[in-house]
Amino acid sequence: MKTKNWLVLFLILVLAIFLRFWQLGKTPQGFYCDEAALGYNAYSILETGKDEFGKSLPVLFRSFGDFKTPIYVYLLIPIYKIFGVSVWSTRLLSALTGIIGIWFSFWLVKNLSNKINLGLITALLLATSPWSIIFSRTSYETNLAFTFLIISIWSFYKFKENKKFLILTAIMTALAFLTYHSERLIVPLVFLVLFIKEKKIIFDKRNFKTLMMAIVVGFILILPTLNLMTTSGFLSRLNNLKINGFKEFLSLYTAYFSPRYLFGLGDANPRSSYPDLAPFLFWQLPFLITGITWLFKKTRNEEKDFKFLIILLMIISPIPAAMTRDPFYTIRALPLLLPLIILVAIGINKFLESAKQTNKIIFLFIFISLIVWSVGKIYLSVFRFNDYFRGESWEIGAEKMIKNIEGENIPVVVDNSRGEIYSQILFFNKFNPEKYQRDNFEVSNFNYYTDMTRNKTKIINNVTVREIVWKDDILKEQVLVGDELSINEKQIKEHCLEKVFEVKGLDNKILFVGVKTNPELKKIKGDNGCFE
Amino acid sequence: MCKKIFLGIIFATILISWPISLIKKPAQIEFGTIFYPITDLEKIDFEKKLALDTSGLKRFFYNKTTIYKERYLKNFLVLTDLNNYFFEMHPREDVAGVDYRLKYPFWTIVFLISAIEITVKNKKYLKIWLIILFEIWFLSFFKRIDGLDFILFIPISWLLILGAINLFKWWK
Repeated sequence: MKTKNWLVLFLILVLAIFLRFWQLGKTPQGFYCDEAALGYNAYSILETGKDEFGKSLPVLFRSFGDFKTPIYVYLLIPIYKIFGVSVWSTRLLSALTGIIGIWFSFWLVKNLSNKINLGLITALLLATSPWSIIFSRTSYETNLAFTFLIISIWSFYKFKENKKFLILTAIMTALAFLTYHSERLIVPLVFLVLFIKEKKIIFDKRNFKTLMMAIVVGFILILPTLNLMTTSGFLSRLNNLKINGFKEFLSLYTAYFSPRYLFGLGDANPRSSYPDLAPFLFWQLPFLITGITWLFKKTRNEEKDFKFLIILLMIISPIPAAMTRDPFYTIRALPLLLPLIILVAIGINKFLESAKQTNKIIFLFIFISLIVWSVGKIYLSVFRFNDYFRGESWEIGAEKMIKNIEGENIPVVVDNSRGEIYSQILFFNKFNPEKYQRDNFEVSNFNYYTDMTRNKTKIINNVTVREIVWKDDILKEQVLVGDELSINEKQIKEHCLEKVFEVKGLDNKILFVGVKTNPELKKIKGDNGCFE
Repeated sequence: MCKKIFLGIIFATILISWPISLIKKPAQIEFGTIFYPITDLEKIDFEKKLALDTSGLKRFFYNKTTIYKERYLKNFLVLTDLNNYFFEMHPREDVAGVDYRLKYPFWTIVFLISAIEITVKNKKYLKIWLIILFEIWFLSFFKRIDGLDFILFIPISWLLILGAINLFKWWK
């Protein structure tokens, strides 16, 4: 590769790093309970070798009546060891994998298409993709799994040059399979098809030893999870997400290819999208169409593998997401980003290739202008608007509320009727995992993966996380904490409570209220309350 | 003969659904355009965004034309939504000014894929897409597109019929 191309790739990676790392710990402001649960469990493993429920090195992580995949948690451990426990370090893994994903996407496209420019355009589009940015800046397992998937595919095609890559393919596919629920379906389907297609090379006698080694390595990695395949823990996600019939499935599936969703509506989940930003930018639509028309054109021999892979990923990637009720759920359909972005890149590259020299410069100038425009739009949406419009969904006030109750000497009850706030309390306080495990019991180690019973009451020192029971709680001297729906002005007066603190969002909406009970006064005032 | 009858049934299915839906539930046709005064809701949202960024950058992205561009884009994307034509707008039936009609049976979407294939391979059919694109561009200027979008019936049905013929060409 020429120095000029290395330089372009370097600049693309710098841009990707800026869009993923700048203010990583600060925006999204707030730290969602799922992120906190991943973080605290990693911290708990680091300190005690056990998760929050006291289970030694779990294969799946029990969490909020569901099970989380384990790889993100285990990879956080060395990060916490080096950088300490913080919002920034928890999201660091996602951001890093975002960059690694771009790097391998470039090599995958370059190797398969034999076009450096196409690889560079793909990398640039991924670097500035809102769909990639959001999951690179937040602690979800999906981005990590997506990166493992990209590396596994890259390594699969490298195997044709060097058979040792088959072992790396096995490791990466196993890791992708173990990292996120969607990949449990996508990985086996994609690789089954790829193996059938390349069976002559894979099952060649000369590759037998390597193939056996790859199978053994992959099998060892996924064996502990396979062992749990029939447990309610493994199947919990599957049981929760059913759809009604083929038509429903097809309508959800088609939505993943519909311009209205890709360029307009985006994901309805406020934590999976940015304000005013769809997964793709509108100017990319004509190039996507150009890319799609290329798919239907007669294929040259050297393009066959490349085209086959794009079609394969396009067909399979949305299947797990379309099997759920949620419409256009970008977390679950993240692998679809790769074939679609490659198609946009192909569209752009076609224009560049077909243009004459003078037009080429003009076209390049327009393309770079569009990228600059996109970065400006992303900047406004990600760094200026998101915290204001989506802050509440990211549980923006939780950290402040936790600081407010930190110094309390009397018991504190935090209402959890609309959330899983205990995970943030544990995370932000770096609460002693051993003590937490001792004071809280939900299930025995033996029934960890099978018994889905929940204990929603959590004891964290003097803080109890549970639903407020008004008739009993006002009779003890304590601080009650909840959102505006749990504790409103009428209740404050009715039960003679004293407001201790209020946490407001950026839009001035009250997110948390802390009130101190006054049992003596309430006894005197009785049912009349303190309305005067 | 069998093939002819079979294709005839398919063509009839393609052609019948949209007109029937209009007969059963007539469209309220309005010719107002997207250039109606800015609503309070749009204004509040717009001003919030302007207040959130103190740099000059915001004016480049959020200026007088923004709200009209957004209205246009919304219409444009509704008209290019596959689910609008084959799944009565499901799963996100949240567009004002659009009635959720059964325009084509959902399984006829297969013919669309086949139609893309044949139009890519045979350039003479490209004009159908151009007609569709022009009509969508034009319709996107209207505030309420339900009923008016029936002008897309002919080119889209034409494409689906082409797709059906292409799909069954193996059947001698």
